[in-house]
Amino acid sequence: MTWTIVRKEIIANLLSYKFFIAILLTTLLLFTSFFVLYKDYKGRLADYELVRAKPGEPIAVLPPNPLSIFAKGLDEAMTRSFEVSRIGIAVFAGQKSGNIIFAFFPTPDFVYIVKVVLSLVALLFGFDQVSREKESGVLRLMLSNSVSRAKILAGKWLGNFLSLSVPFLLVTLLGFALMNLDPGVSFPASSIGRFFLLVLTALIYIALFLSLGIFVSALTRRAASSLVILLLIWTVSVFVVPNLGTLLARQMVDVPSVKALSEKQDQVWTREVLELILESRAKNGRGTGDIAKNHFDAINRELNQMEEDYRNKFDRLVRLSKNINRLSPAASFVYASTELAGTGIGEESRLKENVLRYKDSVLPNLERGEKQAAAFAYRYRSVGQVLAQGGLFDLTWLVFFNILFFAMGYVAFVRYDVR
Amino acid sequence: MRDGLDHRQEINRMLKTIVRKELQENLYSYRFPLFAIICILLVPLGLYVNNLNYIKSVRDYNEQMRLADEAVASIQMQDVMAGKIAIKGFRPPALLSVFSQGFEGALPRFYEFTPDGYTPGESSSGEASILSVQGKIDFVFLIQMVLSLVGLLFASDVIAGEKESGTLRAMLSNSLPRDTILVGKITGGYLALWFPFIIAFLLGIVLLLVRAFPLFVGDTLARVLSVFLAASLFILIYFAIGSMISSSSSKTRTSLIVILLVWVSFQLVIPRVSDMAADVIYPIRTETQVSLEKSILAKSIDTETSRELGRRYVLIYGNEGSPGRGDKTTPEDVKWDAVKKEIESNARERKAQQVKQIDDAYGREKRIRQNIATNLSLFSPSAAFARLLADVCGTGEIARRKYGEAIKDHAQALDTALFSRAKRTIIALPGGKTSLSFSIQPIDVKALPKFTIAPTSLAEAFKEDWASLLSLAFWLIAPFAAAYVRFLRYDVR
Amino acid sequence: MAMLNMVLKADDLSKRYEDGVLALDHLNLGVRPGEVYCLLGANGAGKTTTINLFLNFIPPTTGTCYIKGIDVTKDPLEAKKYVSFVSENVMLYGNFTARQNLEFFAKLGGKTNLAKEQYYQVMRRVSLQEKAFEQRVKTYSKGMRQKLGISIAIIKDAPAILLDEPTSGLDPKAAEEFLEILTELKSEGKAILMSTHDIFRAKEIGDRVGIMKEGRLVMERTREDLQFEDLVKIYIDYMKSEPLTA
Repeated sequence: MTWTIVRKEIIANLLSYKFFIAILLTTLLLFTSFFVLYKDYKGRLADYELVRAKPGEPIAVLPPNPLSIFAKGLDEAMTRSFEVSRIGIAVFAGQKSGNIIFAFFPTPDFVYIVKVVLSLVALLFGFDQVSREKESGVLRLMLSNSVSRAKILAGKWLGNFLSLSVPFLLVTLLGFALMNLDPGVSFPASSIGRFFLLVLTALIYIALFLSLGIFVSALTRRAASSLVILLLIWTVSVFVVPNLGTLLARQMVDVPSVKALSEKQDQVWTREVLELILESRAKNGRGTGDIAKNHFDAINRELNQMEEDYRNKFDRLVRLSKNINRLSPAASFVYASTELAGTGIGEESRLKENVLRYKDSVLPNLERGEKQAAAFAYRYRSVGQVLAQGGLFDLTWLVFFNILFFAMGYVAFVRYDVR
Repeated sequence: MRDGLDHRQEINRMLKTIVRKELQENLYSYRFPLFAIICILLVPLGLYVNNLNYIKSVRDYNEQMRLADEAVASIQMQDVMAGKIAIKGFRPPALLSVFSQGFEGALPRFYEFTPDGYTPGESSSGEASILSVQGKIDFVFLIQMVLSLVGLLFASDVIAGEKESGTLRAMLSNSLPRDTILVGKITGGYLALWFPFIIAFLLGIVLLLVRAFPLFVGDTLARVLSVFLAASLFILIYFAIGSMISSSSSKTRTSLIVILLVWVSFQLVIPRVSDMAADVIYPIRTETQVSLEKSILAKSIDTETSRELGRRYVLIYGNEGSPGRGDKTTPEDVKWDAVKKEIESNARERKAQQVKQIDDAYGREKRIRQNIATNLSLFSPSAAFARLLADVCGTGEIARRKYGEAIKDHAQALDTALFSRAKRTIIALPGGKTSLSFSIQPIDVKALPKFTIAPTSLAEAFKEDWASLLSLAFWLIAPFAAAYVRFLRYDVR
Repeated sequence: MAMLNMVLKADDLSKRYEDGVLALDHLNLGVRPGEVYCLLGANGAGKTTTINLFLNFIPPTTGTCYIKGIDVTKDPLEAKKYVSFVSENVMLYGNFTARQNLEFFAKLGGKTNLAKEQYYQVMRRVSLQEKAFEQRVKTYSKGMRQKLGISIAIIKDAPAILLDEPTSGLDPKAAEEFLEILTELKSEGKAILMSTHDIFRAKEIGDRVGIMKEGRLVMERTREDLQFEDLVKIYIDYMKSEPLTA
């Protein structure tokens, strides 16, 4: 019985112009996105060849992540070049294609399109599922048969989800396959698994909005009302809440600014140097080498301590903002997908840690005057680690939203007044 | 037998009746409070958040300038001659980035100038970019993405809804011309949107002033006013487009769907497609590539120069001579000095010329590509609006261009004032030996040129963005005209 | 028949739609002041088309409609000053109260500067419950909507009133009340054209009754005629007879 309803939903969709226009638009957007970011990736890769560390140079720079084509995330920040020197780490702009236009409009990567557009399309499919049929009286006709409301709802959900997800999957997989054909953009074996997980996450996200759409549809008597309510929810959850968390977190966690940091650094230097001078005078110039070394060590230690302190505070800020942002499924989705792709906040902070460790290992050699420094090597976290460090939480959270909205939709539909 | 003036008065009276009724109707429905909430929630929030960012960037900028100045004051001659000097030029954060982020987060915060040229520094503090992985909300984004959608939606049943409920027929059975109805409905509907927007905007300004935003300094007030007017116009445009769609369909639901698809096209498809098309039509090199090209060129000229110097050295001093200087200045020394100066100044000129060529060519490339992308994207009123406002706020294309120009000018100025004055030249002698020669001219570190970017006046911004203004004007007039025509012939049965 | 003081006049009116259907076939019809004319007919007979033509919602193929001697197609705005319209499903603004709806349409009809009490009076006249005056009309029953619809017509105070199936869907009591109001208006000198299915009430209230079939006015009887003839029988006979365009 349910399958009859599923079939009817799919056919009804295929016959409606709304379906075709939505699919057309999605396809257009996705292909545009793939093309633009694919070229951007190749441009950045070419740049990388130019700025990569030559053997012996104490420079840490990563090549661009191929999965950044789908989830740009923090890849630009992660591919900056970090130059180690005695005064610290100098950060330079990484590889950029000539395409600075992304600054004007947000990066149209796969994640963004799913986050903004596909959620809207899913809402479009769901918003009038119940109210339209009630308005046209068809719902009453259906219910005068011996079919339970649960089956009707499940059939509607499944029919629409299939109508949405099958074209979406086809387009995405086709795009991925086409890109893979280009030898310049080879997706390493490990990233294929991640890519599929990414697509799965997208599907969960889309399903969530479909459930939400159907739920609100079962709350209103007119289709137009449900659409407006849904749009309000969509606006708030996609655009407002993800930024709200950051704002609130900033108010609650105080991270020292550049100014404060540099002042403290100055203080440390001045103090140690003064003490150095005093001590060497006291010792009448004997043993200056050791004294100097002691003090420079002290300076290094203190600076490292400050760095760590700063990073701890910053991590706290990030964690707090993440947790508040997660009230919105859109934020959760972005976190999950960027972490899976390796361009997320977690990966970025791990990179920074590694860079610092690299600096610690290379610095002593530099100070001894050695010209050649060891090369910098970085390995991305495994999928297991990604999931363990928050990825699984976000995924589960998205699934929870799904179940919640579907359940609420069920309750609303059962109590729906079909007269 | 009708008095012309009376007739017009009557029409005006009925117009006012309709406008009032529209306003009232919107107020009573769920729409008005909905829109008001969205506006009052988002607009001040966006302004406040971006102002916090701006204040922080200014503090960081001032601090970094101070540190850089200290570094400059402590420049040692040896470092200059060793070519190990790097001077940073910082870009001040734009005050009005509070309204439009534009390129603010994407342009390098500083450039580093060395004897070999200049390289871009990082673009935004790593911290800010991490927190913005979710996207940014600035005022322009909110208007463009969110309020435009809401405006479209509220216009969706300006005509269609009334048809559905038949009140249109009721109105038309009175002695009321159709265009009066249309004008009245659109005016009333828009006012119901505009009033909450004004309140939200004022609230945002208040939040800014609380944090000492210099609203009344310079032409800031004029710019902020321009931003307000442009935003109001933009909402009107989308309302007009929504009304046009509404007067073309018989059911609210249909017009809603068409509206959503139109919105997605304008906001997301056209801007992307136009940039992509520009990339395809006219691909250009990246900045890093050009930077590298220039430093390669510099190095090759240097190598050439040192070989030439070596040759001439041998000619003057003979094979045995070594470039040490004794206490006495020999006639050869005099000759050598003159020759060296000539060769070096020639080399410098040649270098400057060729670097300029590369820069000019690249600048031309960038400009052409930019023009293509811009002109294609202006088909979307949303893109036109964003570009115009970015330029008004100093974070747009004009600012980017002027930054580039300032960099080039500063590089040249520094070269004249600093890098060329204290040089360590490598002389390649035949036989494979190299030796060093030093030339020092007095450098006044305190008088080194400061990095400045030429400001852009408001009039300049409007003049450059005339195409955006045209696009906006078109999108204002065309939908109204279309709605007018369609509604006048609409079948009310 | 004296055509000169006809408030509503249809002169050789024909309408053929774009799809070829002939909705009206040379209709001649007139309503005098103080007269109620009931237009009877099956669905699709042309009753609503006639009303739409009077209101200039559609242009006639041939012929003319006159309201108070004014050609409706030539000067629609002037003509509409003299007519009120009550549709089958009275269309109102759901979020407004009865008084607000009344006020709006009154102003559109040219009656500005009326006091609240005057609106109340009109609503009382149509037996609308007092407590409903300031209630939002989306809570109204059909009968209440009809009453509000007629009060809008009353307050415009136009010499002609057009009604499209005014009693359809009303319970007997509400229908009776409605017709009482119409009788009052008639005695005030209004010319009323009413399309309806309701044979019985048509006989009661109509000064003249016209039966339409397939776009033609096939029969017209006055009140006196109907005292001696059985309208019901005539009507059903006509409905059962062969189609005119066979």
